[in-house]
This record gives sequence, C-alpha cells and structure tokens, in this order.
Amino acid sequence: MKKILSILLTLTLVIGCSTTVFAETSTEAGSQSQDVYGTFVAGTKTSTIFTVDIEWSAMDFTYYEANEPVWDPETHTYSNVEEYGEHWEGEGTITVTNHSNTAIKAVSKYTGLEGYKTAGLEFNNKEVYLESAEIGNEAKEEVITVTPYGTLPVLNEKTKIGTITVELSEFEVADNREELLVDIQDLNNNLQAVRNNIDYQISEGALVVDDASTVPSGTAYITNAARATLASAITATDEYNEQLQTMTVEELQSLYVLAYGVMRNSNIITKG
Amino acid sequence: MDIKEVILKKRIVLVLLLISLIAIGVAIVSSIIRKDDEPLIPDYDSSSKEEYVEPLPDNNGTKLESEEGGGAVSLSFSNDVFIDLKKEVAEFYFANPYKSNHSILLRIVIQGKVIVQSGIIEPGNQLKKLPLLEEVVNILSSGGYDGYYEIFYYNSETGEQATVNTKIPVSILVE
Repeated sequence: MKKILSILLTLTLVIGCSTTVFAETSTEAGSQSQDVYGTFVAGTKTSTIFTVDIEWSAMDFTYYEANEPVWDPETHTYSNVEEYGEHWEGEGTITVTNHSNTAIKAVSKYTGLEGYKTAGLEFNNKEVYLESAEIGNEAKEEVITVTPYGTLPVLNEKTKIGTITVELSEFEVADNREELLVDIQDLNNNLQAVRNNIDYQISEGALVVDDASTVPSGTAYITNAARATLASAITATDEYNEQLQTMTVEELQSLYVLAYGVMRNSNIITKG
Repeated sequence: MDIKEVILKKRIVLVLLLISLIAIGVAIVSSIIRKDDEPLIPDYDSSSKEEYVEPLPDNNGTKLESEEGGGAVSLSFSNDVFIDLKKEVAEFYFANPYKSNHSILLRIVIQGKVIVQSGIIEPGNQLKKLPLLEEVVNILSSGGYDGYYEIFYYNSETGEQATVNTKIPVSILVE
C-alpha cells in the first residue's frame, strides 16, 4: 500500500513540475506585440471583350445586258452602241466601327452562290485596320465601298446571288525583335513598291486615280485623298529603316502599327 | 468430308462475305449522310429563340440606323472559348446589344465542323454557354483548337437573312 502511495505521489510531483506556463510577452515599455495578418483578394481578370459595330447598306445591284445595237441605214453605222453597253448600277457600303480597347482588322470577302459565280464584288479596301478606341478615347470607323463586276445570267426576279463575309480579328503585333524586324521590312517593301509604281505613273504623266476600272490588273494604285498621307509616311518609314537596329521592341511595335495603319487605311488597292 | 459439306461451307463463307460487304456499304453511306447532317442555316428566323440567352443589363438607348434593305449590328464578344466535355457545353461570351437592329444566329466551327449552333439571339441579349451538338461530343478530344464564330444576321422586322455575315477567329480549349 505504501509503495503504491509513494509511486502516486512521485508521479504527481513529476507531472506538476513539467507543466509549461504560457504568459503574454512583455516588452520594456510595457507594450505588447501584435501579429499582422494579410489577405490577398485576386483582381477580376477577364478575357478581352471586343465591341464592334457593323453597318451595311442594301446590297442591291442591277446588271444591264448589252442591247443589240441599232443599224442606221442612213449613216451606215450602229447607233447608241456606247449608251446601251452592258453595265451595272448600284453601289454598297460596309461601315465597321471599333469600340474595343484593342486594335482590330476587318477583311471583307464575297462568295457567289452556285449559278451566279460569273458576277463578283470588288471592295475598295479589302482589309481595314481600326485602331484601339483607347487612342483618343473615341471609336474608330472605316467605310468599305462595294461595287459589282462581271455578268449575270437571265433572272426573272430579284435573286440572292451571294454573300459578303466580314472577318473580324484582333490586330496582333509581334513581341520579339526578330519577328518585328521581318514584319516591318515586309511592310516597307510593300510601301516602297507602291511608291515606285506611283513615281512611274507620274513620270509617264498618267497617274490613274479613283477609278479602278482603268487600272490594269496586277498594279497597285492609290486614291488622291490618300496620296499625301502615304508619301509622308513612306519618308518616315525610310528614315526609321536606318535606325531599326537601335530601336527598342516597344519602339519597333509602334513603328509597325504606324506602317500597317498607313498601308491598310490609305485606300491602296491591288487589282487583279 | 463429303461434297455436301464442302458446298455448305462455301455457301456459309459466301453469305458471310456478302454480309461484310453490305456492312461496309452501310458504313460508307452513313458516313456520307452524316456529313450532310450539319444543322442548316434558316433563310428566315422562324426557328426557335435561343433558350440559353440572358438579357443584358442595359436594355435601352438608341438603335443603330441603317438604310432600307441594309442593317446594323453591334457585336460584343470574347475570342476565347472553353469546352467542358463532361458537361458537354461550350462556354464563351457573346452579346447582341439592344442597339442592333438585326437578330443573330451564332455557330462555333472547328476544322470546318459545326460544334455549336444557337437559336435566334434577339437584340438586348447575351450568351455565356451553349450545349455541344450531339454528333460532335464523341469526336472532340482535349487540347487547343483554332476555330471561329460564324454569325448570321436576320432582319428583326421581316425575319429575312442578311446578305452580310461575319466570321471571327477564336481560340478554343477543350478539356
């Protein structure tokens, strides 16, 4: 009995001595420390949301077949040949407006329905570039003119002959030096080619503008309104061309956007 | 083995061969027919309205103007699409704001194959998801794809399909 009692007392002493006591940490000035907690709330991250308006006019075109010329027995000639030649009437427009905070491009394409592929549509600006609305805090707008060409088979009533597709996509600029240099060089070459063509036509005294029908296939031409803009831009890009190697990636990106915008928005049309 | 048994075996082989040929023929024909099974685009928007649409919060303001026979739409969209194969849905953002004067039918296309087609989306509505077409659930596998939205417009008053449509390249992630 004594042994049991002594063991219990010994255990009580041992347990009592080993109990740790936690107390507040005191400091010299009597103040106390305080744990500091931080919580992170992730910001809302969303995909880029594009907002683009597309407005189109009635795409209603009329094809006039050439009339038989009338033989005039008095003059021994056919009369009214030019007045009654085959021709189209009607012109359409597509207006694209970019409200997004990123640049976009719009490419127009016409697809004729089966049976009416002899007719086509020509766009004065197949590919338009629209800057981000962030620049100047205003929406950017481009108008594309649509004109018909070719012929139509005999139709008894107004008939749907095809559809126009406007492809909208983000205008992407390369983010590495090598790719940017190649892209800029390509644009410069295109601009140079256009300038050479204009110079040639001017030297011949026959610069043809604003009339696609008189421009031979395979040549680039430019509308009067865009000539001055393009000429100054070419000079600028030529000057930049020598400095390309010293420019930063950001500067190269700005240059690319400038050159692309000039190229696509200057009504430069390649026919054929 | 007597002659009768040999003849019987030959007949059995012939019958089996015939059945195999018929099966191959049926498979070829059905695969051709399946290609033509893509949902058609209506010439008039008499089809049912899209049930997955949600109304946009700002359903007021001025309508875009267009000349008679023309049209005007305002498109709001993301160019990322996520496809959940388990739920069999495509998740994305696409809206036809109130100011549009045409309704919209939307398709999502991968490698020329239509995987999603909406009903009619009237102005003032948005879409955040659409069910995958039944026939594509089994042919889609996980990974990234380059696809596009195909958008058709319908005059809100006459219901007639417009001569202008729109294509928008999108990045599609399938999981």
